[in-house]
Amino acid sequence: MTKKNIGYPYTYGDQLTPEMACNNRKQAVSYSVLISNIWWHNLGFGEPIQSYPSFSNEPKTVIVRIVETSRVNSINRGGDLGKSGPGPRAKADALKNARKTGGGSIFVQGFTPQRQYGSRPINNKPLSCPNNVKINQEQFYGNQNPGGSSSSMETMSKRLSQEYTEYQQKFNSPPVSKRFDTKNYDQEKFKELSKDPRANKEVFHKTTVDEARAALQSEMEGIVDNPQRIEKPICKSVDLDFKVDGPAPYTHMDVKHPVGSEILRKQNRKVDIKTMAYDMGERIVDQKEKFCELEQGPKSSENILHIVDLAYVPSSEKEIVKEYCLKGAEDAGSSEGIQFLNDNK
Amino acid sequence: MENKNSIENSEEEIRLKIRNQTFRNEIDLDQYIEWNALAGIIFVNCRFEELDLLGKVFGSCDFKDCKFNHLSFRKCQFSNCKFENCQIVNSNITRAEFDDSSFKNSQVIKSDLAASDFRRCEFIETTFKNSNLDRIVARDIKCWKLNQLIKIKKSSSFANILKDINLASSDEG
Repeated sequence: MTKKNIGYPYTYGDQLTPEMACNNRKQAVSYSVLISNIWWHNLGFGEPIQSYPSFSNEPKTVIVRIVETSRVNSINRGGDLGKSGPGPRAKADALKNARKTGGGSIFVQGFTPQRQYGSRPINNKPLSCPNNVKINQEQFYGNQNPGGSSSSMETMSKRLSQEYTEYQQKFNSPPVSKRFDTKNYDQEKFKELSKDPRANKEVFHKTTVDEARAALQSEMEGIVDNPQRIEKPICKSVDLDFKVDGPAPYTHMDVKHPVGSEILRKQNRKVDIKTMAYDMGERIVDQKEKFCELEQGPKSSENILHIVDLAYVPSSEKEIVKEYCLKGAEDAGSSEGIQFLNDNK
Repeated sequence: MENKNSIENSEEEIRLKIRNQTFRNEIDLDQYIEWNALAGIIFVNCRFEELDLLGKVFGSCDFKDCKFNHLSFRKCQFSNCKFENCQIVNSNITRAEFDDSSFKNSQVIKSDLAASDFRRCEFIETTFKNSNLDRIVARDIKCWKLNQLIKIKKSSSFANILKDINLASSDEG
């Protein structure tokens, strides 16, 4: 018995039967839900998708465009979904049909480059400025986490600092997905700690946001108590990142963020990770001595804790960085008062 | 007069060379920043005015005949950079880290270098005037003055050494 064929804008190499059309309609519904979710993520309402491809040699404008579309592609090509949707040929046909007809099929929108709504064009914004568009998530979600925050520390970091966001978009090494993140934190405190304490206006740099993340993580892991930025004008002389309320003997804390060899190479720094880590260890010891006995500064070097956050070091290199950092510190005097974060223990 | 079309690739090293540009805000410089870093760029006769570059990395950048005025290089990391015939004025260079870098015929004037760190660096006929040099730590440094070489293995009083060899001075004496 011959099956009845019906018209459909997609070509799969066969004639389309009513059963196939029915399946396609079901898939269309599921894709519309999926694509809505993707837009929801892109708007910044949901958790970021932790998959950032590397486009090291592309011009920045191209990078921006590709990153925007790559989020869509990274989901639809994911192994979890398998071949549940139309293949490349169907997508190409959908795109072709849309160009012919000017139609706005949800497939076309889903599989072709789209502007990322809710964000300003990257090339037109100053560094380190918080996004002008502030969206109150509670209006959409409600506060799902009383006592905590409705957005994760990672999401909040990206909202505060454009520099931070751009860096993370390029960073594709595995550790970024393993970096400590939580919704159970004090958002106001995080924002306060993320500000550049020396600036006259409210500025959130990538560096200061990273410092704040390390400080709060250290507090949550019980390494320090109540980290606070050092107020002006004391911070101009006692130039350490934070003061802390303990545990004894610690009164002050400083944060370091080493990077992996891939980032070193991209930054065109002519050192390997061993030298970088060794120098860091030496500098930590030097720094512990610098601010002792200043007014409201640490009494001795023992009062300063150095946090070395390995969030930007790939898992395969973390042990090397730790080893050489401690070696550098030991050779310079002492490896006491150094703690590692995000070290995959 | 500024030459706006001065970005070119240096043929011998395939490095971006920027000539005769003035950078007055972070947006101007943003297009050259990748991975929080300015990497391998040669700046010739450029002016940098009132930029906040906190925490930025400068990897193998050359600055020739450049002027820096009211800049924040706070917590910046300079690796394998060269400053030649440069003038850094009224700038914040606190807690900056310089590795394997060199300064030649340059002047640092009315700037704050407190708690900055130099290692494996070279200073050739470079002077520091009316600048805060407190708590600078220096390791493996070479200072040249009038063809005389002074080597410093490690010093936490780098300011005093610079004063002793008349490379650092202040109007207050």
